[in-house]
Amino acid sequence: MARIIPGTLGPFRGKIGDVEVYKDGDKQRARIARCPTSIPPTEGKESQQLRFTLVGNFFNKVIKTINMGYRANSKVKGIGAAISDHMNSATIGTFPNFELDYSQLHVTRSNNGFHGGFQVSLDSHPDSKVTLNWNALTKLREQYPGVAGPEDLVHVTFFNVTKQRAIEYFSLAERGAKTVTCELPYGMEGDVFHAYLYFTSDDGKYVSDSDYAGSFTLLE
Amino acid sequence: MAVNRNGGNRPTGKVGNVVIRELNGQVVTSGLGERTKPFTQGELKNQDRIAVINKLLRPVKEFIKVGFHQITANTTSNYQNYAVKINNPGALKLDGTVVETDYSKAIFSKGNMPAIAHADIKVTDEGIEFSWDPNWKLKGMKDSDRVMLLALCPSKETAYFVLDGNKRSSGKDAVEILHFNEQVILQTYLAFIAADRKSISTSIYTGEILY
Repeated sequence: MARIIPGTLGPFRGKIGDVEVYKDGDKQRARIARCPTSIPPTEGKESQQLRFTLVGNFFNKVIKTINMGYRANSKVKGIGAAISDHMNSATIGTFPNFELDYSQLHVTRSNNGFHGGFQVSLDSHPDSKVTLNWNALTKLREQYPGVAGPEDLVHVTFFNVTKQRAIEYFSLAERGAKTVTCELPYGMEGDVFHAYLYFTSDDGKYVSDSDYAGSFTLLE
Repeated sequence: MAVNRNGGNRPTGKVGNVVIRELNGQVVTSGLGERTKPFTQGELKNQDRIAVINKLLRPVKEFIKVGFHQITANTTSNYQNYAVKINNPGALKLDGTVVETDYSKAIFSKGNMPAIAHADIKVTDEGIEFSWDPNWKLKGMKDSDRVMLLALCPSKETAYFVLDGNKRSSGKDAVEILHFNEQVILQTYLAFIAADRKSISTSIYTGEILY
C-alpha cells in the first residue's frame, strides 16, 4: 500500500505492485520491491549479515560522531563508509561467533592527514570520573600549518558495552592541554566502557583519525 | 574547468553541471550527461591508481606545496597535479589488478639542485635523526642550503616533516615524532632547498624504519 504524500514522482510513497518508492536522505527513489525468498542463505551471506549487524549496531549508537568524522559524499553516507571500513578489520572470531574488536574501531577518519594524538591513555577515578591523556609535538604551530595546531579541539566518545549505549563529548579541551577529565552519567558505575579520542581543527574543517584510549570499568 | 583555447572568447569544457563544446561548427552548451555503461577494465585500473596516489599525497600536502613550487612556477600546472603526474605510475607497484604504493620510488620534491647520494636515519628519543655527509658536494650545492625532512606514516595516514631544517653544513637534523602506543613503520625522505628558496633538490628515499 502506498501513502498519498506529495513527492517528486507524484502524490504517493510506498509500494504499488512490484514498485516501491522510498526516501533516501532528501531524494526520492523507486526500486523493485524486495520479495521473500525460499532459498536458504549461504554461509558467506549469513556471515556478512552477522558482521554487518554487529558493526552497524555500534556505529548507529555513535551517529553524531560518525556524522562529524566520516564525510559523506554523493555515493556513500558517513555511516555507510564507517560500516564498510570495519566489516572485516574490526570483527574477530569465526562464523557464527563473531565479536567486535573495540580496539580496531575508528569513530572518525582523517580527511587530510590531520594529526591524531600520541600515547593516548586513560585513568578511571572514583565518582564516575575518567581522565584521558595524550601527548603533542612541541612545534605544532610553526611546523604543521593546516594539519595540526595547539588550538585543535579534543572530542571523546565513550561506549558502554554493558548497556550498549554511547556517550559523546564534544570540544572538551584544546590539543595543547594534553589532558581532560570527563564525568560520566550517574547510574553506570561498574559498567565496562571503551574510549575513543579524536581532534578537529578549531574551524571544524578537518578531523583526525580517532585513537583508541582503552577500556575501563567505571568506579563508584 | 572550462578553458579558453586559441585566444578566442569561446571557453570549452565543463563548468559545474554544464558542458560547453563545439558541435558541427557551433558552440553548444548542454547539461552534464549521465553515464550508464559500466566502467571498462582500463578505467577501473586508472581509478584504483588515482585512489592510491591520492592516499599517498593527502598527508604531505604542505610538503609538496614547497617541494614542487619551483618546477610548477609560471606553468599551467600546480603542485598537486604535478605530484600526481610524477608519482603515477612511478611510485606504484602494479601486480595484476592490485595497485600498491612503492614508497622507495615516491618523489615529493623536484628541482635543479643535485640530490645527495646517501643519508642515514636512526631512531632517537625525540624522533628520527637524519645524517648526511656535509663534505660531499656537487656544482649547485651550497653550505647554506636547508634540509627538508619527511617521515610518512602510511598506517596512520599522517606525515611528520621539517620544511626549513638545519644547514647542509651541519650534517644532521631531526624530525620530532612521539612514540605511538603501537609500533608503526615510517617511510623517510630528505631533500635540500636553497636558502633563498630559488632552487630545490629532488627528494631521496632514505629508507623505512620501525618506530
